[in-house]
Amino acid sequence: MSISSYQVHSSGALARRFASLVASYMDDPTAAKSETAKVPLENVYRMLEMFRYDAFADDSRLGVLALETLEGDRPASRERGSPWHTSIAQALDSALMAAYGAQKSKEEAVVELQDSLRRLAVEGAVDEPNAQHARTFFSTLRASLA
Amino acid sequence: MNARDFLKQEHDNVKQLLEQSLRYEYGFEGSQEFFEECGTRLSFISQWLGSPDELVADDLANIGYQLNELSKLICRIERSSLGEYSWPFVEELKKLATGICTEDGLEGQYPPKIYVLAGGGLDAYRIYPEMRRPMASRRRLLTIVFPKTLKHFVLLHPILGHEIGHALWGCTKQQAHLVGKVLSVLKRLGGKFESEDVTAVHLFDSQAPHDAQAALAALANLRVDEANFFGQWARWEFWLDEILCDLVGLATFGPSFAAAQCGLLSTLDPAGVTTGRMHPPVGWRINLVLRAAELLNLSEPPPDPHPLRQSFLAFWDELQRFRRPEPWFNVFDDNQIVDALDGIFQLLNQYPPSGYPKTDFDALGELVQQLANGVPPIGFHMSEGGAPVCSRVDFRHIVYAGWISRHSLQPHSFDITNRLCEHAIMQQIAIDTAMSQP
Amino acid sequence: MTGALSRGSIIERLLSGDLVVSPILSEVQLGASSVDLRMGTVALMARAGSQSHVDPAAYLSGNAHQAAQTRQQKHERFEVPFGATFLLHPGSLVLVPTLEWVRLPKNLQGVVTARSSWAREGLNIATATLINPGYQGIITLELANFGEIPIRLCPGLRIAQLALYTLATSATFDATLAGQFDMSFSPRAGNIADEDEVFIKRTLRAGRS
Repeated sequence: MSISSYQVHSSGALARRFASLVASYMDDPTAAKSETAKVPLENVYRMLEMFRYDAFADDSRLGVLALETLEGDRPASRERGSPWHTSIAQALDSALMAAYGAQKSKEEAVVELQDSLRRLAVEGAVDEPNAQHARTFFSTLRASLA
Repeated sequence: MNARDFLKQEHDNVKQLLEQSLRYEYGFEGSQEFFEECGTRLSFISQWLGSPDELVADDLANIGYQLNELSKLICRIERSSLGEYSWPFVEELKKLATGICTEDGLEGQYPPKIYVLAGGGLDAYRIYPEMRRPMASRRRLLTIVFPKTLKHFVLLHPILGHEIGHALWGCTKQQAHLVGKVLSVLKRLGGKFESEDVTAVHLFDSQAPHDAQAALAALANLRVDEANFFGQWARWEFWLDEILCDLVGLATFGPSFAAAQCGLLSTLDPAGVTTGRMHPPVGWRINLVLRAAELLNLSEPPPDPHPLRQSFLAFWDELQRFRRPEPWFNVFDDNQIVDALDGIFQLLNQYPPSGYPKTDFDALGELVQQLANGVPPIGFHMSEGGAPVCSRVDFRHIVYAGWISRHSLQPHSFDITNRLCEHAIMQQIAIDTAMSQP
Repeated sequence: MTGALSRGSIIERLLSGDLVVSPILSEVQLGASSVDLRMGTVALMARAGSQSHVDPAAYLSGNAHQAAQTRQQKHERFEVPFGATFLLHPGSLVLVPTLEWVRLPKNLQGVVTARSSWAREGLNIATATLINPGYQGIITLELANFGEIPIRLCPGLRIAQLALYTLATSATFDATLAGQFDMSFSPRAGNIADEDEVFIKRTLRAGRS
């Protein structure tokens, strides 16, 4: 048994950290302009993109000529429990409801949130009233992923 | 030493490893982007480790995982130095992949950050993006791997068209399109991929060929049968993805993909009946691709008496020999195949030149003739007036000419044909460069 | 009639197909009695650290591992894609292929020399390269920098010229007479021991290796 046999990557934990950081940037926008801040900002942008298109399939695959044999290594089996994105998608849903209610469609809300992230990263500021929606969204997201 | 201290040490180790990787030259674009991306990842991890908050077990486990993956990534890059793979083919492949794998990101449109390396074994052929789920990364890297033994074998490299399918799947908007416009077609009601159960019924059909039944019977030792085949053994959704990727391969590389797929997959599984956990039977896939090629009119020959006609027909006749005649191997009807290809081309056509360009028989014939003369096939000839005339030729047509030339009266060896075509791709880049001058 | 081919004759032979120089990217490459050749995309440099001296005995096939190791380690290979450059330092020798694929009929011989504009910068073809009748492939250029400062080279530059001479009678092409480099795709070091093993082995027996 080797160290790497433990599957320790937890998407939910990382998503929580990223949501927490982005929520903090809403209160301290200048911190969002650093290179390191781009990591949580890009990740959250990407999560929103996947949420917008409902496209969360993310398994890694073997190459086209890697035909498994009966005796071969077992490939990624169906994940035990929920897929990686279930808790994240649910948290995004909750956060969307909290921030926008029925005011905007998922598509409109995601586009606005992504725009807020972009402004944060580039200008270090977010326009009101988008800022209020964004604050509510990211703090609810953080709490929902806890 | 506690976990946090060890991880801090390992972070420093990985940082040194990154710097040491600059010993080598990494392709024309160099190593700057890769270095900066890894540097950003390390900075994020460093900030996390240095956080004044207490790090819980989950945090430490995640940090350890991220460092582990980063270390593996940096070690892999040393296999991506120039000279390990066919850079002319890669340059063309990048042009093809860049448009279709561009994603929306925080600061606009992000073309893929590609790096290429050589690996051991035929199963090294692979294109894979980093995962989209939360990772301590800013930009995702797209890795292309070639088998080192096949460095110059450009006639086989079109197999990577299948892998472009996986790369597309790894982009959010593209995945959504493929789900809506292609997978939905493959899973159409009444078809053999309507559901897991329906596919399993077809797989274990008593009318299946004897060798297919024997291959499935071997699974009985592992207590796998029709009822639990997709629950316990194989992943049905992965099978569908592989089928989708085969169609993407054909749509991007055309006949050369069909030839490479038939040749390579049949080498690994000559009967075409082995089922894999992640791959459907090879025979299903070959039959599908050959039928799809027919429906795209790729196998439609030039009219008689075109000089290319005999070699062309011989090429396609040879491919037909890989087809299994039993109905069990045909899992999609023509309407499904046509509609699925339509969905794929809807995506590819948004990003020219990713779709396979239409073949011009006269131009193709000239390329084949150059090969017959032992000359790399490119867009060049001398005009009647004695002036040199250069023209653009898509690299996929160069490779297709290579396959067809194998059926000329006196073909070169497979090795020489590949070398001539690889050389041609390089020369054609020079022609395109010269023609781009105002 | 023997002699150097003029531009008109070169074009005639190119049109007939028995002479191949492909591609010719611009008409400027066709001189009065020569064809300019461009630098290709590989540079091969001898690794100074890997050997104390050039020794023909190292090429003898007696020890398979040693012979293979010598072959692999003698030169450092640099891939120089379009857009990249290669710096040739003073006193250095580098083998580069031409961009052009050349095929000579049996009644023509080629001679490759440096273009004078580059020669004036210190870049020279170390030896006037003879191209045998019947040759096909890239031409390996042995570039040397005789100047005082490094020269930056890049693929596509017109650095050499090929002059063509008719033979009195066509060469009798025999595979055993073929040079070592037919259907050549890439520059590679020669085998200086080829066909001269009897003399080299004599030095070894005499203990003078």
